[in-house]
Amino acid sequence: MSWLPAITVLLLVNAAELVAIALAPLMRAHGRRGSKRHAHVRMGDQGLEVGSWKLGIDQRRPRVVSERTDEQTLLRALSDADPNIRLTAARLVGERRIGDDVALVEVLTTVDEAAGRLLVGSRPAQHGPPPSELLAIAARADERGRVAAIRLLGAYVDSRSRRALAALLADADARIRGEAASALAASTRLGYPNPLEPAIVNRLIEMLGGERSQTVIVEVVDALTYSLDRQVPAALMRLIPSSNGAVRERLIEAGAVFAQLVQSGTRAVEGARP
Amino acid sequence: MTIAATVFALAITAALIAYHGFNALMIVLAWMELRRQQWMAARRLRIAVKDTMALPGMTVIVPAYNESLSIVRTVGSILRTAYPDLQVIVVSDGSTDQTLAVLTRAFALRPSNARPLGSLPTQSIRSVWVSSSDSRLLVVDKRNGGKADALNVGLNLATRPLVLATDADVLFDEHAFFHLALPFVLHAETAATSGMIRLYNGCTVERNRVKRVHMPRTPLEACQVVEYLRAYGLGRLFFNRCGGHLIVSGAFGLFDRQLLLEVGGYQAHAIGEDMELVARLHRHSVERHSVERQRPYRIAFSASAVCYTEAPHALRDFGKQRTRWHHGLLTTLRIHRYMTFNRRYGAIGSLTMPYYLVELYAPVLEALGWIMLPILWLAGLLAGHTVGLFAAVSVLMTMSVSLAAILLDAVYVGRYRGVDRLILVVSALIEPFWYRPCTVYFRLRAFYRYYRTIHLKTAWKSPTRAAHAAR
Repeated sequence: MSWLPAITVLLLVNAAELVAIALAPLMRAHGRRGSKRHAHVRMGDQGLEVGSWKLGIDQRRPRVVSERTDEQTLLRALSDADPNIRLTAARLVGERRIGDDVALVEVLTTVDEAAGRLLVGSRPAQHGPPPSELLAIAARADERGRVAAIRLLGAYVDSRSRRALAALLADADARIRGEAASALAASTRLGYPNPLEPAIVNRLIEMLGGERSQTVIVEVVDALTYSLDRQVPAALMRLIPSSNGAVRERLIEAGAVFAQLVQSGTRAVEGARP
Repeated sequence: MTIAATVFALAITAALIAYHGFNALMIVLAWMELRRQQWMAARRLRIAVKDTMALPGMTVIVPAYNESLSIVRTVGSILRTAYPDLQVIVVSDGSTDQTLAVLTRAFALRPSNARPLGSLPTQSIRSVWVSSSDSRLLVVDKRNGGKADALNVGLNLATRPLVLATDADVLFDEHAFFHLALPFVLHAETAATSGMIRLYNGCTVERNRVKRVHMPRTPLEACQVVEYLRAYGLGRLFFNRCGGHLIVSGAFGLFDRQLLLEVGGYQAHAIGEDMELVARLHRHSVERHSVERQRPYRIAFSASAVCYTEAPHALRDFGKQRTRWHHGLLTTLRIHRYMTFNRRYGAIGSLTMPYYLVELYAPVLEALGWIMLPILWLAGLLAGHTVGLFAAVSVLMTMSVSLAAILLDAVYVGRYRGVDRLILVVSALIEPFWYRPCTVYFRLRAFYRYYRTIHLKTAWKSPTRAAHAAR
């Protein structure tokens, strides 16, 4: 069997390719002249028309909500069947501060958990006192929107809202205590690098000793981590021997995060002793 | 020639004709696909789409482990892209170097209230930070759990409908994200898209963007450029044309977030988690199609979406990378072997999986061929000139495929010019003589490790990075 013809053909092919590569700039220039048909682009009823080509665009294009969507459509989209639409709408409603807090409490009782958390988490920090009606809803034990109101209070960087949340740390319902601690942590993070009020820090440290719910303890540790109070690391370390599993892990990590905050140039404050 | 030698010679001949005949078909179809995709690069198209349609939001997840040298540049590159609704999540997977510290300094990080929306199981999160200078950037510090675990953390925190997974050493073209998202805008059943990956070794980088493309000056890096051109400039285009796209690269892959959560995110202990994920997406698509009669998902490749990554400089790192990739291929093909030759999976089952099966065992066949030929010659069973001709045909065929990839790139993209194009061509010509045998060896090593059940640690080790890989 002779391979010489195959080798000859291959050598010719390779040589032709090398020549074509050398002439590539000319071919590109010719191609650019020919691609003027690409210059005409139009969005027609059937989809995109690129020169003489019509793109067979799927009529089932995905629905999207965006910055261009109006407020009413966004609020309706919070209960859309598509989870992507719901989450995008929730984020935009939060970022654009659509609706006042009291109206949002009602909205938050109807949307799903993920969208609700994203809506609250997307709200920018608010530096004035919260509406008294919001405080009232958060305080009333039989209120349907109580959890939503507590979460919304977490967006306020204000001593009045923080005191209200601190008061809820003594609630009989573990879920309310956990939500209050979580909202305090959120408020503390938003207020960074300003430290948390010493009285509230002391209240949180007191809670650590007596709280039984692991979920609540994790939230309290979270709130203390960002408080920038110097007594916090020692308080957290005292808990480690008597803790187990997730709580112990969280305590150790909290110490590392606190150190990170101090290392990044933020001064930790000397809080008032209880 | 004895009968055995004749049979061997015929087998080699048949293998060469089949394998390289397939390559010729690949070149033709890749050329047709590249011509078709050129319209995506039209500036007027971009303006028309942006003016008339809302682009879906995109979360870019950057898993990072000890990437203090490159992370700021990568994040800067992402934030400078011209995509309207972007969220960037850097996940520091228990980094022990200054990754978090350099990010804090560069982007003025402050504590964030972001909480996971998804419920994929992951290692615990220590802290979440947001940039004071650019609120699109979130940085997560978590316990070490591997790249797949870091990606799942990012997936849980993602708030946009599209999720882009990338690496910590990647730079992006200004409109890369637009081109990657365009198939999602145009077709409702798009599940994932991938783009063109090039190497920035030797390139000029200014303000976190590749300003001028140049060839690297070391042979190892230059041959990798040739290989990437073959893989992306021919292979991906070919499979896209045939509807059998299987690999969405871990460095540049865009996914529907909801779909990713449905299939369970990234597998924590998978080697080659990117390919394994896409195989699972295909399976999910077929099962959903047969149960719910919905149209199967579409996985697209956009040649206009371009990102740049860094190729290994040292042979040792290169070897580890290729061994890991081949190990990932081996593992994925084994796990999803039911898809091979299975018509339910369309082009994936009938074309792509068999192709990668051949790719998997190609180094074995190649090594056998190169070992047997001189043995047969020394034993007097094959004439010396026959052995030489076999070798010449194989080398020339490999060169012709590489030159075809360079030609397509030169005509339709034209990023390498003058001396750089010459270096590219020379690299393609010398590649079969040293680079290819190296890759064969490293890929064979993957078999050895797999069958000796040496568990390649999923905890990643960052390769040696040059502080100034680009000029």
